[in-house]
Amino acid sequence: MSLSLIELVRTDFRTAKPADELNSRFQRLLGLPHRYGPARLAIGRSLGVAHAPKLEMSFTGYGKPIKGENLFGTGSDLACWITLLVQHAAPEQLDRARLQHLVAAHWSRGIYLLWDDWKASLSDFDSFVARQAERATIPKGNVRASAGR
Amino acid sequence: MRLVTIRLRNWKAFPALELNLQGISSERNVVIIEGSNGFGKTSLLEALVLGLYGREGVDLIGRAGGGSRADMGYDAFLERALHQGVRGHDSNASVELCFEGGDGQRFTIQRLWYFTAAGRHRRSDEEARIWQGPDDDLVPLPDGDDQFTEVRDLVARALLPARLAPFFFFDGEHLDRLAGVDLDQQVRLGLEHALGIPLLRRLGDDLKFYARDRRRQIKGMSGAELDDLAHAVEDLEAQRHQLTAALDELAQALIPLRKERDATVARIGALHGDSYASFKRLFEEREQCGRARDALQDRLRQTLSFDLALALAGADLRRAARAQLASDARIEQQEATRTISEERYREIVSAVGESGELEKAGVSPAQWSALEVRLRTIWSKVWGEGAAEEGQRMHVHLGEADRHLVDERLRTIETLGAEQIAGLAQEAEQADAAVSEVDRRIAAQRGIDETSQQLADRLGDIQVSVGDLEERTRILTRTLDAVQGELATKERALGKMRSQLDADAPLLARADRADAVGRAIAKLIERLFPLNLEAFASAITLAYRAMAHKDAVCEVRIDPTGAVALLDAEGHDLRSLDPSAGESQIFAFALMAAITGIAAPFPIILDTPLARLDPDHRERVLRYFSGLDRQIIFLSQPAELSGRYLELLRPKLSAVLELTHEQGRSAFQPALPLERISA
Repeated sequence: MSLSLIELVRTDFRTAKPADELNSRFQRLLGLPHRYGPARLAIGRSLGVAHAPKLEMSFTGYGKPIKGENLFGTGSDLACWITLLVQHAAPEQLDRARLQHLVAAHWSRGIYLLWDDWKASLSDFDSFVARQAERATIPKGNVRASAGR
Repeated sequence: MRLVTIRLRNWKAFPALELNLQGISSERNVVIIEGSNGFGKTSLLEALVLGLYGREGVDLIGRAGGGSRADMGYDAFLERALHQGVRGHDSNASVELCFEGGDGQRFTIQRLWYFTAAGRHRRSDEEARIWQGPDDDLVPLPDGDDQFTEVRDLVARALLPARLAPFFFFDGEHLDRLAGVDLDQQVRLGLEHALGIPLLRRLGDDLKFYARDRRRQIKGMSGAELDDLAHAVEDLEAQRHQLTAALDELAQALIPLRKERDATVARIGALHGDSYASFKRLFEEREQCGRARDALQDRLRQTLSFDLALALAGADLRRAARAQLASDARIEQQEATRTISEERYREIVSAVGESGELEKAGVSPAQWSALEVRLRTIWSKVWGEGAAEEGQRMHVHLGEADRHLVDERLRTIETLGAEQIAGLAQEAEQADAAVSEVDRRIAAQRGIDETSQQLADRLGDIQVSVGDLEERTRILTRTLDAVQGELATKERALGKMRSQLDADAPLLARADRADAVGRAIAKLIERLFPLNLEAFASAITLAYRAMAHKDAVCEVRIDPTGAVALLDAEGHDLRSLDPSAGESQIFAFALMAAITGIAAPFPIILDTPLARLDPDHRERVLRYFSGLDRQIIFLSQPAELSGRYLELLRPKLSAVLELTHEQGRSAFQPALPLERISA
């Protein structure tokens, strides 16, 4: 069965528990008001890696869920995220359950990649943001600003 | 109800038997069925019990025993009951009992048991049929186990519930069951059964179970979760309260600092002859720049959660997605075009075929077929179907409008994402530079003399303190935002759960009602027994005094525990004198009489009742039972009810039936009834 954006709005998404705990830590570190903030960054970060993510869930269990409308927003934001996830998974056809699993895997992989980035930025907010902006093909020179100082 | 006919097939020693108990007069209430030992009297009693109660009846039959499980006893009993002559091949046995009451009411029950060639009872094949009413209407019964539940209920309603049967079927060979050492218990059980107390107990237990089960359902569904959620909401509210209080505290701490700063600035301004206003403006500018920088940082954080997060997926993936969206659009377009083109082609071919022009032009069907193939190829070329897009649409979750929106959003990310973040960063950098510039200008004002230097130092300290407090305020505000967001979500969930609980309220109310009724039943049981004790003891006293030839017993008294006392004129309990077996049996008869007296008008069946009694007791017992207003069936030895006993019963006698056993034929030859009217 193909994906339905309407259905995904109310769908719960979650990742492995340790990744979710790291997500909460990032939320505090970056001073982000919502849990979906670091989760989106993580999923985006993982989508930037060409190969498919893997998720080992045997021993950890799941973390707290975020509804689709919060994790991805609604309207064109939601459609955009789903399109990128589907494009990344191509040629695999996704149904809802498979998408949930894939989101969990991207979220988990992404949050650990962000953690590596954070350490590489010497736990400095500006440096971290600059690194991410650069990764998103934004010229480095434009983001040497003083956010978070 | 009177038992009027007994029909047996392949039952014990009877291959086929029909006993008509109506005899000469339906007005008279006593029937005697005579037979020597081994002729089948007890088999007849067992047929009555099993015919009425099936599996439940097995506990009422002394002989069934032999196994700890009732089921085993039932099967084993039936297998022994199957007539020997039909063993060795598939067979069945049946018992049919017909009862008649006043107003032409009739009730007939038939049970059939099937057996394998090895003589094993085929449990699942067992059947029961019931005919009821003046016209013997067959009562429709459900299949399976429900059938026997229904039969049990019908028998209980129309005739006698199984729990009271022990008081209507007296088996002289198993006297101890009614008159044994556990007499007190028998009395208690008897009265309880007569009052329906076991049923009430079961009902009470069922209600308790129902209430517990319903409550557990509700607890399992949302009670524990509700508690957890309510606690989480309380915690979050406490956090919000703490954060708000801390923010208030910070705001309060900032007030004197700002005042002091203003005063210091004013003093520095006065020292340097500058106007207070210009110096103050400098510091206001410093604050403004700081606030602008902080706002930009917040916007930057916001950007992290939206555009930057999306942009992190990378240009390659975005480009691939946009290309695929374009391809999806073309495929969709081609599919639509192909559908229209196909429809039009068919219209034209069909119009040419139907026009009759082909015949006029002398074109044969074969030629037209060949022509049509060519035409199809040309059509496809003209309408551009040749260059079809490869593959299927990938992003089927998107309609045409969504596809445009996504494409636009991805394009915006490509360009605006970078510009936005760069712009933000530049603005923040400029704001930072502006702050530094103001700081430099303030610093230039410092140190003109010692006083102004001290004031400037103090001003610097104040600025640091104000900056610290403002930063803490910002952090706390962000935390408060997060807590409020989570609190709103949790409060919504809690509200939903509470309304669910409201919906469960009727269920809880039902559970409470079930408990209340259960408690009322428990109280009823508690009061019911003592309430009826006196009347019951009087009935036993009457029956006992009528049957026992000694007048020593003046009163039978039963205490609330069921303990029986046989009191003499002085009120002494004679039971302590170890009553004889005969008197125990008399007491058992008295108990039967008292219980049957308050139960349904069902026949009393007495199997060899007189064997252990002396002649005087025999007469008294016969006189008492034959005087009751119900059918009495005696199963007796030929000598047991002859002579003066028979004469005593004669005015009440409806029929005397004799069971015989033909010795000359096989050992299991039917015992044919010989009706011997006693005129």
